[in-house]
Amino acid sequence: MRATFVTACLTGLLILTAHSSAASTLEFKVVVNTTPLIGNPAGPFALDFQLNGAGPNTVAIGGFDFGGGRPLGTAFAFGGATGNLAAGIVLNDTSAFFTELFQQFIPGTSLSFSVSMTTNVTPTPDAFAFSILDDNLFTIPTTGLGDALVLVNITSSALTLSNVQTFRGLNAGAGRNYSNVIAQALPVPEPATLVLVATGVIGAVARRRRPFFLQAERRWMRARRSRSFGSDSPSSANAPRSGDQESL
Amino acid sequence: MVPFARTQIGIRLLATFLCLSLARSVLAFTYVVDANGTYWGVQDAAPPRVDTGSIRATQAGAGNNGAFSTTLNGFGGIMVLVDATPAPRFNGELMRGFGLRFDGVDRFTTTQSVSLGGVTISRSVYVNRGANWTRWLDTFTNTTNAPLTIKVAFGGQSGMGASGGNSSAIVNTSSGDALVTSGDSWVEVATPLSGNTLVGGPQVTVIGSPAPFTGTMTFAGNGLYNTFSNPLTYSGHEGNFQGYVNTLTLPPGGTRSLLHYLVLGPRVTSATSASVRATVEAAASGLAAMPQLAGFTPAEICSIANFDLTSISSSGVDYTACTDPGDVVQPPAPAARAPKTSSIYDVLEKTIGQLRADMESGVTTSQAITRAYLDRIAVYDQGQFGFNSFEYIATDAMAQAEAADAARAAGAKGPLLGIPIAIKNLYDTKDMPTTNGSLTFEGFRPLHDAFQVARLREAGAVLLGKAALEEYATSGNYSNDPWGQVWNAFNPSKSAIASSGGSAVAVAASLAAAALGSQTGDSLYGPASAASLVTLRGTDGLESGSGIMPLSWLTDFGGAMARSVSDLADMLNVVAGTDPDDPTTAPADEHIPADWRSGLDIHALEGKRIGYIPSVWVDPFGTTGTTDAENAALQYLVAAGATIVEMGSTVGGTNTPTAPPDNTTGNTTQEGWMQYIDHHPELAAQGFQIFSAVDVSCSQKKIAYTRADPSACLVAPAPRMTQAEIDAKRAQRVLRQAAAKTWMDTAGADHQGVDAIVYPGLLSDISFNDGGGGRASFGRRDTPGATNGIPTVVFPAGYNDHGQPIDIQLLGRAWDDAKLVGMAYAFEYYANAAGQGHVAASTAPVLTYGQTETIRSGFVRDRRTSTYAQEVTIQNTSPDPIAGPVLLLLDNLSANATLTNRTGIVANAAPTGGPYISVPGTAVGLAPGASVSVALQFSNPTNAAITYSMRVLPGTIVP
Repeated sequence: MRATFVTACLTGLLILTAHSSAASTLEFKVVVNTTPLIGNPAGPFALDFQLNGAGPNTVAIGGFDFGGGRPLGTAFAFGGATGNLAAGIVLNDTSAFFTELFQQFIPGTSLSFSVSMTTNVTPTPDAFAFSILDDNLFTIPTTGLGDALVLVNITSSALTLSNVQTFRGLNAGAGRNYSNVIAQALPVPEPATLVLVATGVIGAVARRRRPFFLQAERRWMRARRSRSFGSDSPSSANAPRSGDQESL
Repeated sequence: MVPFARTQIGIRLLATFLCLSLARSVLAFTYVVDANGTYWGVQDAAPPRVDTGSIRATQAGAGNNGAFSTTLNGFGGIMVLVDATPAPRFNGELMRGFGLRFDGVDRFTTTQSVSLGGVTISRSVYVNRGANWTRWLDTFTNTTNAPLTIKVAFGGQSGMGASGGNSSAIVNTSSGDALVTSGDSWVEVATPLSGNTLVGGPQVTVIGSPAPFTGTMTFAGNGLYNTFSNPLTYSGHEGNFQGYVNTLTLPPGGTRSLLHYLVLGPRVTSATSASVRATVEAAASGLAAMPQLAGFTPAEICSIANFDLTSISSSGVDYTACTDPGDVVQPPAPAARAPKTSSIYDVLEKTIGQLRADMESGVTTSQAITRAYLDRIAVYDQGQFGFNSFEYIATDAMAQAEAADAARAAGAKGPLLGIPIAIKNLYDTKDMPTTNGSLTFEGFRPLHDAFQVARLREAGAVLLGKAALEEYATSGNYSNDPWGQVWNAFNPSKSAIASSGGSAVAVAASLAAAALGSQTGDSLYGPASAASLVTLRGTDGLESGSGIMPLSWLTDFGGAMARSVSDLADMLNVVAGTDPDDPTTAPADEHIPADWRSGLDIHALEGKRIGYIPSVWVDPFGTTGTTDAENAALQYLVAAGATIVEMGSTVGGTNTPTAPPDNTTGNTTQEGWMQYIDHHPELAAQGFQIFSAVDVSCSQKKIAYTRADPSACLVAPAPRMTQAEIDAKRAQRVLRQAAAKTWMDTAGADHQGVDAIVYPGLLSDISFNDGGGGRASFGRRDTPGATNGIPTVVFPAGYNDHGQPIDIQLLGRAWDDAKLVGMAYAFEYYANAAGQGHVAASTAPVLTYGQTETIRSGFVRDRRTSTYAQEVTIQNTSPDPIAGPVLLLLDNLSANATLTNRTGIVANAAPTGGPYISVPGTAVGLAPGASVSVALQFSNPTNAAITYSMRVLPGTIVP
């Protein structure tokens, strides 16, 4: 319930911060079969979200359902990324070309989440991508560009579900067969925009600013070295608790 | 005449009258008649498709029978300047291409908006017939993501000349001081009075609410040139041009409109002027205080930026209830054609000599050259801002080029082998329609080529298409081809002049290597001068008139237009000479050189005496900037070794040759057409009801404002000329040539004669292309060449004081053609060396090479490969296959990034230094319409933005 509320806040913020000329947003739901990841020796796995380009665009991701699994550890963010898998994620590429957030998770039988994104068009389109990383922080191989499972090129201000590209994993050998990791994009009911905006305003008022994750990747490497993955909490004292990011 | 024949003629005349009357009611659609009986001629999308929404002229009757009720000469158009970087093409020019559709009563609506630099522009025009005014609503929407500031100049040409009956002047403003400021709501223009003679009525432009209202007019500009920065002029020829400028700031997605009215009075005398002016001023004041808004949507009313809320609300509108101006309905603007060519060879400003050399050395082929011209035509000659220089494009142009390449491969050579040429569409072509620039001849397919066309075809030239012209090549001011009036290549709001405007613009804009045009009065000299080209109105009979639709038989001359004097020589080597079917050309082969290039000598002017007649260097409009520049160019005649010799009445001679007594009889127009009809039985066979010159001139398929009243056509055609009359006419032309020779032999104060006489080209700036009404579009100076059957060579001499290209002319004796061409060559040599010869138009720049459309994806960072991945999809959008393997070149790749899966580094195909990739799967090439995708991988350690530009090249190119 709390996560849903936060996601609504994030979505409201997305609408509020969308560029004035953005006439529409694209909303869809992603469903991925994650059963092949259960007990896979390449784990633990992480979910990886990117928004790259000149912007300005914003993507809000929330409503995560892990199909029996759950988020794990701390989110690591770069560029204009904030949030985590429990509270929801916002990617904004206004200030950086490369924006990314990834966080480990324990896979269940399936994974689903919702995406709401602005569609401001630039000469080289901004791209939103979703991938899964293995224990080496390598993207699991897929049929998609850059090993993405979901890819949206913002080539039009009027994108539809048909513009959401989905892919499937590949068999990487050595027991790392991801060929049944298949992503799907599904429609979501049209949101009550005004409600979302109002919620967004509430969320914005309640927002508490937090320091930016300037040392995120360094912390991630420290955490890896400490072999803390698999526990709910990172060992690094500097790593923020996931709950700290919820009000964003 | 036998009774049967009389009966036949009578029946034919009656049938013609009935047909003409019926046709007239169907086709007369650009006029709206008001209560004063004024015919407002609106430039809508109907032929000749000027489509500016401005008033061409106002008349007291329709067609070519009505007197002009005002001196309006193209008024009510808008020029738009968008403050954007880079500036869009045609920024600040006259907007056109709205597809303005007439409702058959009083309104014209936009059917396709115009897009300029991210601003969507539409306009509506309404003629209030009862109140004698016209209203324009111009709407602008910012389609970009950033605010835009635009300037809009409303106005045009209110008269012509510095003084006299066609001139106009600002006589009053709403503030009463006749000085236009932001404190005015209207401006009145009137024509000089002439006692009891009716002169043009007053014209009042309502420009909006006055200051201190913030939306008021921001600048009163000179409507002729640099309107947005050059202040309004109140006297002289330039005083006829007004541009009332408003500045609008448009937020992203924002819409604003400007509203203007033009109130006209009827023609006046000295006695009636005051009361008529009082009436129109009162009407203007009323509209300024309470604008008439009937017919507008609430959103349109709310978008009006140049009238304040009080005045709009006083019109019965609750302005406070305004809806979002963004709701103003504007039809979409057609997508602009990408400025791309599928030919690797660039033809911009190439001379025939350069093209030939490149083909002979194997650098290029006729196919590559022809494709390049075809692509430029598609981008620059067609669509909303197209020049309209071509009326018809040959469907087999590439096949002709392929044949030329095959002939060259087999050892053939020739000055024009594989060179694409435009043909004025009054020359017969057996494989293309020949229309004489009129719907009268729409679809006519001659069975044979005109003599000169046949010569070009035999020489292996590529007959690229049929160039647009003035309907019937008549008056020489506007090339008002019904399939699209031609626009100037240098100043794209201005006239291309006529009648060979299409031929000239096609060459000037590098849409063809050279062209055939024709001249009766000024139709070679005028358009060539407006386009910095070379042309020759040769001695009578130098070039054949066979297969050229006539205007004034025996005076008409079909000639070449080219970019340089040597190009002209190349053309003459093919098209000049004796034609057995044209008796006038009988002496030609005796007089012309075996090779016209042999006379191209930079010493050709050394020791030559060039006559100068001061009185011909005077502009009838009263301007001096153009003639000053042309006079300055005489220095290159001197530099080449010539002496300028004053002649004419200033030194006791005459300014023109003394005309020999002329007792000849006969109607050459009728005879010319009858000869054409006799030689073209296919006209009747194809269903054309053309049996005499009257059938041609009285066709009700002509453009509405040139159409004759059917009642004036109930005359029997003039009789055919007898052979004796024809012989006498020919003899008279020879006598004129002799008289001209005597004149030149004895010219100058010392009566030692001159070798040639120099004339200016155009005498003034050219006027806007939306004018007309029988008024000149430029200061004109015909030499006595056409009248006397003697040659005039016309050649470029740089620019005038306003950046308009200028030419000068040399007149010579009969059969001095080759000498004149040589003199022009010498002048060209010295003028070009000083940068004052031929100048290039900048309105049709080089196209980017690309047979393809490319689509880039966004970037995805792949943590497995530590690279950024991007997909590029390449589609072959050309009609030709691309040789494999297709190469994708990345130019100006940002320094932070490296293409890790590159094939190599570009070392030859400038710009060099960037990476390229040989696209997988394209070893056998890429078929037309096919597409292929390639994934690019970039190393980008700093995660900074990756930027570059792309080129796609065929595998035949070494990158």
